[in-house]
Amino acid sequence: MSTLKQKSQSLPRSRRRGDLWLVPLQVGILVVLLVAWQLSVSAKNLMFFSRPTLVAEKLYELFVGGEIYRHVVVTMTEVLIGYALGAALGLGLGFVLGRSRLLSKIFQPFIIGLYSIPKIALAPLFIVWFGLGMESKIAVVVLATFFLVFFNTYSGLLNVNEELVQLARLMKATWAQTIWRVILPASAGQIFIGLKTAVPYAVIGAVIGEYIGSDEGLGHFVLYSSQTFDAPALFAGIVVLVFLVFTLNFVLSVIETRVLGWRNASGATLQL
Amino acid sequence: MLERLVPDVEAGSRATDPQPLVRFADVRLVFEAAAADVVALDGVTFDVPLGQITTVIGPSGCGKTTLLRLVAGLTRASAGRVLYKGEAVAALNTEVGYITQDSNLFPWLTTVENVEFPLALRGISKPERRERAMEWLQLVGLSGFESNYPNELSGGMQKRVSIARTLIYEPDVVLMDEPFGALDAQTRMMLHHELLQIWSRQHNTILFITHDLVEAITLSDHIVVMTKRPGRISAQYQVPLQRPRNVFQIFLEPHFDEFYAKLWNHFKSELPVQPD
Repeated sequence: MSTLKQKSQSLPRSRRRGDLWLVPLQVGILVVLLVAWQLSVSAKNLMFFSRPTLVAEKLYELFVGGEIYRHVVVTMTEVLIGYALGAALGLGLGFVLGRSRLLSKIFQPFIIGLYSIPKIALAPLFIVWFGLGMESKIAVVVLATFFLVFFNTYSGLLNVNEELVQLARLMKATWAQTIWRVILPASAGQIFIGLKTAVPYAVIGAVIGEYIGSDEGLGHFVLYSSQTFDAPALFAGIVVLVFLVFTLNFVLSVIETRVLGWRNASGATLQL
Repeated sequence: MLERLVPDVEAGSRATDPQPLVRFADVRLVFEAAAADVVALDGVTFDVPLGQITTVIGPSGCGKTTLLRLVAGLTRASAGRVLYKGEAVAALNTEVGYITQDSNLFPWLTTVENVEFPLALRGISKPERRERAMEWLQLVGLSGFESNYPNELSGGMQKRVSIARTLIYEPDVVLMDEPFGALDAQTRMMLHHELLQIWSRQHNTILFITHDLVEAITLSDHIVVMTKRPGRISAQYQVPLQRPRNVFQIFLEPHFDEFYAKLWNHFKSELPVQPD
């Protein structure tokens, strides 16, 4: 019995050990791609494609000179505020409609209708409504985030094993306890899928909003670089954006691991 | 035709028990369906006496599970009454414990957290509920597995956790819906043994559903036989076997053979294909 237990406990560790080759491999692929880029760009088209070394130089320059910080802060603020609002709305509505068959029936056509609108197409409208400042970009981010979080929360709730809910109720759980201790953990996996897929869309929303009308933010910076044929700056801006998405996803992954740690325990079935 | 079958009621004294824990009184249940309404239960009348194991056997699809849902207040009868401690069940009955066909453990909680769950709902302090949960894990032979998650446990182990999680909060009646149906024969025998061990100490009132005659005889004091759809009661029996019973050699217990023959003779008339 004790040997079985040890086996099961060592499993996650061995899986982590098995993953150790993954990061070097990924770094290797990145290096190959960068080298290919570096070597394939000739002097003739350098102006359009730039080179990784030039982009790196530009990045260094931007961060040391401090020019980029203003744009990062603006875009980051738009993304964080918009994401928080959109996620909160999506979670709330997803929960209500996911638990209420009646409300879900009533609102389904409206939701589908709204979903079919290309959110990005609304960005110019938001600029008319909310002006050239951060508010209009936040509105785009809210919309982009909301739908992804809402749909995943909603479907996560529909997929909760109703027997678990009924068992908890029979065990005298109040509705608040049922939500916190059963429905939320049971749907957390799907909710996190929504929260994580929404991150790049939130950043894209902010960037598009900035493309359409603004004088600061990473979107503005990238657009301005492209209009001034400054390819290294354009790619540098994109690198910063990618880094931003990775950072946000990393934060979410850490939270997810804490909340959904039990999932890693799968696989080792014990016999008695 | 049914009347012809019914007179073989040996549980006459039980049927007139003045205050059974659960009483089904002429219960009828109709499921409304698009094509035609389906009568799931019709004229179901029987008692679940206090402190005994009552088993309902019947062919699959005869509405056995529905009986448990009625007691739990998860389904309402179309006609007739389901009485719990003399009162009609009108809402969710939180005095019952329900052990479902699937173990239905909370996959995000460890074994011990699953067993503690009902106590946590009642606001019992962490040290106390941990202590009680560990006692129950020992009782069902799962000491040492308290920090494993359900998906790391075998089917039989999950079932043990599910039983401990229900019995720990001492429900007045335990509803068990074919809980051992999916287990292999050896594991099932072990669990019969453990269940009867626990029962012999606590004398829980259990309403057990199965389609397995041997399981019914092994565990019960009182057996209710149901017909195929619509589910009606065709007979009730008192199990003549003495307790404690040796579940591993239940065939050797006195009276097993003749009682099994009697039950089987009755039960086979409900099967779609008539065996010899």
